[in-house]
Amino acid sequence: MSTNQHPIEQEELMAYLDGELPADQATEALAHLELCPECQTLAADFRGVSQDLMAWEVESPEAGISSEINASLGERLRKRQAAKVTSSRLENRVMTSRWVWAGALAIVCVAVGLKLTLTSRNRNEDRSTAYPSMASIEQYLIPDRNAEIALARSAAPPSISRDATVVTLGKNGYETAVEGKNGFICIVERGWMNSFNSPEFWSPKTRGAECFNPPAARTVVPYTYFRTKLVLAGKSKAEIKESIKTAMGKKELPALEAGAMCYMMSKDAYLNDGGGHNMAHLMFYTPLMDGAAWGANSIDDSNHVSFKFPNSPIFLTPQFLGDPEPMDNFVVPTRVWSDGTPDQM
Amino acid sequence: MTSDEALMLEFQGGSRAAFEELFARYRKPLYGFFARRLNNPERAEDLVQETFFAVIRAASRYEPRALVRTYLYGIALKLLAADRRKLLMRSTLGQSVPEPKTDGTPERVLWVRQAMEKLDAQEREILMLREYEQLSYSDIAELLRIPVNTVRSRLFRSRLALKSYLESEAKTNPALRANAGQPHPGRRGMQ
Repeated sequence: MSTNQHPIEQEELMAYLDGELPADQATEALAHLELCPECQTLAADFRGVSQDLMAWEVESPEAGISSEINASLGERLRKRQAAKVTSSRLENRVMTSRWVWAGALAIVCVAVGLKLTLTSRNRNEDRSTAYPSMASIEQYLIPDRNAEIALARSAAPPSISRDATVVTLGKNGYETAVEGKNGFICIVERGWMNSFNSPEFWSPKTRGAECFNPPAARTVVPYTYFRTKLVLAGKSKAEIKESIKTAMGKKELPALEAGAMCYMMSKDAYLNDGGGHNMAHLMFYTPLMDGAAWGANSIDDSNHVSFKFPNSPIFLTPQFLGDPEPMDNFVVPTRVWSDGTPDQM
Repeated sequence: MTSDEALMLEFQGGSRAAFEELFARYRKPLYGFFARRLNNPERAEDLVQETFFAVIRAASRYEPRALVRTYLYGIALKLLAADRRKLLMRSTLGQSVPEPKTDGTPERVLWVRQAMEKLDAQEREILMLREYEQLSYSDIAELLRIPVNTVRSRLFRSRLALKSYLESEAKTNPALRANAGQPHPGRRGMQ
């Protein structure tokens, strides 16, 4: 493969597949990959190697903290306690700054955790078993259509959502319940709009109220409709992913439009099982990119927050990350609900 | 969910619960790290415990600018290197060295393991850190103290080489590919 024919090197293609290319190069790589059979073959080779490697699974024996570690831990904590007593003034100062820092981290974690658990790849094995497969379709439906409309509208301030199109979930997919006038779409998303590896992907409890602006309504919501149809048709996660890739390859799904965002400011949404069930925030969609360009703290596949930018209120979620939808999703808390009351989270 | 870094800070401040949570999060990943590199379950479990010992001993030196995950795998790599040195020393002195266990190992695991063994040692390490520990290129570069571009080029080489080794074996035994591995839950992996 020469650069005369291919605008990206093979190594760059690999880096793109690993999610390691900066946004501008990632966009270029994606555009080329969609059209180049040779690069598609190479990409398939790389994916094949990754898949083969997964054959080497390791069964971890159950084991707790050993008595030696417990003893060492006890000793350290005792010393720590003694140090607190003997240098209380200094310690108070250190602890204050520490807890301010830890508190800041905790706030951010809670803030992110709400939407991000909705969108994350959590490898918490206990929780992942809570929803091992799809529940009956009825469990995902909201019997009272008006209640679903109200919940969907509550995602954004009434000044925006009252003129929005509202869609509700039926047994065959989303249906337009109210025709809007301003190009926004309000919708209640279900668990399958999480990352494919989220333990709550099949949760029937998820009620993600969202109000998408016109660019997102045109170029993000179609992915929600598409995934939902496949889910309701009983497809597996692998089949859904493949179908999305195929549809993207055939240009049946749109390319992301600049300025796509959505409101998630509903008090009544249910985003995850992880404690606090909600948080008022906005989400911004971008092509695949390096979160550092936004000063965003990222969440990895294991749901760990990487605090590269302490006190930054922006987070790059793992909802899509090109797996397979070719876009990123940045979350920014608003601290206020759609009805104007403060979000204490 | 509290971040690892916040937990580490809490542990520095004297929280046993924070340590226990970190232990719960990382015991299995660390076990996998050691088990794949040593092929010796008992030793792998010992080294997991030693890693957490090191965390306790060095807790006061941890700084939040480093990711806990990278920090833990940094400790694990050092312990692994020390363990390998010990084995090498024993072997040089003519003492018995435990053989990697293959009894009861599924054929597909052996297939991957043996192909991996054919790779250059550092390329293998980079590939494993990427595929199994799911570290980013920059995390790997930091851990191995090499430039990010070197990580990328070696990862590229190792993947192509591994593909070739795996394919040549699969040609003689097509069953190896019959039940190709499913994507691992929670892994970063390829798109």
